[in-house]
Amino acid sequence: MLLLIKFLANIFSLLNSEVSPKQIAAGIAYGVLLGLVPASLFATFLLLLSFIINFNLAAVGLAAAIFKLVSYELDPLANRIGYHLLTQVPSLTHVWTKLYNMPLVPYSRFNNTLVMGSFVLGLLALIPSFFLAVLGVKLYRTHFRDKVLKFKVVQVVKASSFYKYYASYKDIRGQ
Amino acid sequence: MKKALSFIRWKFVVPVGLFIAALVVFFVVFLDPLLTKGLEMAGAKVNGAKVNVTSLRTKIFSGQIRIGRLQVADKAQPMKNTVDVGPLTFQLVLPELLKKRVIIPEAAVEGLKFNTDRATSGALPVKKKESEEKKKDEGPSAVSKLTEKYGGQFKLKFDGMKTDVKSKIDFNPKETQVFIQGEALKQKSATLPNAWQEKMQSLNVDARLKQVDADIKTIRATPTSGVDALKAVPASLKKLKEVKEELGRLQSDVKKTKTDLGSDIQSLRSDLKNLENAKKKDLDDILSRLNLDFFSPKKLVDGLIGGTILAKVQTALHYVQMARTYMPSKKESESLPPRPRIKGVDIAFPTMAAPPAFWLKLASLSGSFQDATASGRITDLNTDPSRVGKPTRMDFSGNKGSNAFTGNIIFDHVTDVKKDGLSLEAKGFQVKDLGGGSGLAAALTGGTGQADFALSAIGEDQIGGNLKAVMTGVKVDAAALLKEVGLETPGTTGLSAQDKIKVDLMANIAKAIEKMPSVTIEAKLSGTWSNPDLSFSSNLDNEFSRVIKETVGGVVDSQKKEVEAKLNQLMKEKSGDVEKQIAALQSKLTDQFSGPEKNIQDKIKEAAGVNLSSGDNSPIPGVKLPSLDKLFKR
Repeated sequence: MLLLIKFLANIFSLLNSEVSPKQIAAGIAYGVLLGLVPASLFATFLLLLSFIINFNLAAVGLAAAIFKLVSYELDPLANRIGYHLLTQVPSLTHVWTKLYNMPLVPYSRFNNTLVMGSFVLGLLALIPSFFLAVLGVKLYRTHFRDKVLKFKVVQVVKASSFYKYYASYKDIRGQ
Repeated sequence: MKKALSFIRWKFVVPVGLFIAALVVFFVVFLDPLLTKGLEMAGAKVNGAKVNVTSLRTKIFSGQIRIGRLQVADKAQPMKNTVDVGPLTFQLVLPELLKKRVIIPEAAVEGLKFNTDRATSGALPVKKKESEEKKKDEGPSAVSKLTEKYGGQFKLKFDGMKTDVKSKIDFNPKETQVFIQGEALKQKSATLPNAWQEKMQSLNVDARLKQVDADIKTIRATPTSGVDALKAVPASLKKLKEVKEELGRLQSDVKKTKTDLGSDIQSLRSDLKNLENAKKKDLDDILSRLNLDFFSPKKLVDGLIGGTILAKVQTALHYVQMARTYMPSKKESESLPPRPRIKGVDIAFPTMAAPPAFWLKLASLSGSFQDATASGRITDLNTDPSRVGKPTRMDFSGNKGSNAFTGNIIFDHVTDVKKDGLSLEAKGFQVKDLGGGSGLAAALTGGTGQADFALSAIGEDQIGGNLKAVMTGVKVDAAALLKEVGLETPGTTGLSAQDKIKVDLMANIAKAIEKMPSVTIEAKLSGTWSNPDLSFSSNLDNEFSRVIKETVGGVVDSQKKEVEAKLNQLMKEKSGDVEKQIAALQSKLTDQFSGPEKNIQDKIKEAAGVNLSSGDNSPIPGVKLPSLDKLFKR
């Protein structure tokens, strides 16, 4: 429960902060990719990469969590895309063969239809989700932020000792 | 002024680096337990029963894996291991391992043992959904098909005998064929008098005789002298001829009807005799309900040895089938993988020169079986035989004194058609070590034997195999045999009549087998993967036939006599009733025809006595009339 409150507080503070919409949108777009790729060594690599590249981590987490749920519905489509790319496109075969015979790369399970299909779906979603997220954050900040701040629930949360503690902790950390 | 954002979050680089390092250390430190668990899980998935790995040690930089002990549980007998082996040493090619390929140029497999006991059950927890999905994916399985076809047949079915014997002998007389057919006969005989009456009426005897009588009177009144006689006499003669013909027809009709009615009686008598056959059928039907399978020596042999043979054949087929699943033929390797399922499918992209994902090039085997030391080797066990270009072979042999065994297994999936062969030969083995099983195998305590087993499978359609086992000096534990029919070593008192039969039968079977100079069992496997057939023969049949007669003959005879007496009584009642009715019908038949027959005869006589002459026998002087006497046959 505490984690959920912390997560929501983070999202809330992120949307209402001065962080640039593009930085938030980049995090969301990367989170979409991360959420779609099934758990594997490759997904672990993508996760670690998200810590090193300067994405907004709260945005990455939010998008990854949402798209992890969505991915179960997209699995059949991802499977078909992966199967097509891996078996039906002769021009790509030499690329897959090269990768398949390289050290460590096979452990990424790139040759699995679901992993490949989900990764490609994630890549395809990267740019549209980036622009949609930029638009969304801008819309929120210009039209809804003030209204949302006046919600009683928000005021109660903001007045809670946990939020104050969390906000001060964030200030100290400089995030 | 806003600070420009850096693309890299530098302060996270070190923590992520440390995290990765920690992860690597974790895997290195815990590699052995992780690998143990992984091998156990993968092995169990392939084997269908638990696989236990103990004391696994890896030497990462030299690419060596050593396993202290590996136990592969028997799916059919979870308290037994199909294979129990250890220590095992594998030398891996590290560069290939980085490419996710397990290439083992050399391995040593020591302490190989078969059919050993397990401390815990090797059965896997049932995951219904998963197993159903797997079954669907695997298609028709010869192993499951054999169970479906023979699983029920190769079991001793003495359950229910206790209650069935007595309850079902009290049959309902009204449901017997004797009763049903007897009643039908009674009804038939009861309806005959009316039918006869109708037939008699249709003859119209009285009216026809009346007409004859009138005609005779007219003829008699014929003038025999004078001019009128010249015309009248010839006309009367013609009429007299017609009368004669009519009387002949009437006589013939009556005779025919009498014959018909007589044949009805004959038919009733014949049906009455058939009641005897109905009684025999009733007797067979009633006795067949007694659920005494041991009436048939063949069924007894099936129940006692069928289960064990079935299990052995199924084990062999299971491993052949496993090899077929994980070692595709050339055609299968080259064909497109199946459409992806929920977890996706892995597509392989090997280069021309690349080895298969798994390849055990050579493994030296050593072990023992029933105190006989054995050795052998496995070559070219791999996941892509067409790439390797050589079939997988496993050869082993061992001996100690008269105890010797050899085995050769070949899985040739190099070309489009899979060719699998397996042959095992064992001499001088202890029959008690044949291994658990059910029926007779569970009760064997002594004796030696020799066995040959061969199995071959070519392509997808043909499977064939033979098993021959000859055992001498066999000792059988009657109590263990009794357990197989659900009786736990009972005392001699307080047994029901049916349990007494079981005890006697099993004790006599045990004695009979022990007296036999040798027990021979032969089994033959044929058919296809989707429809295999298993048949077997044995010299136990004759012995069991004798034992059955000795043991249960008296009981069955008394039951048979009891049922037969009841049926005889029933038949006596029914046939008595029908016989009475037949006698009445016979009498009725005589009565019905005696009157008309006499009347017809009288009219014939009367007609014969008609004289149209005037004294000189001619109405015209000089003309002689023929004698009418000659017109009628008396």
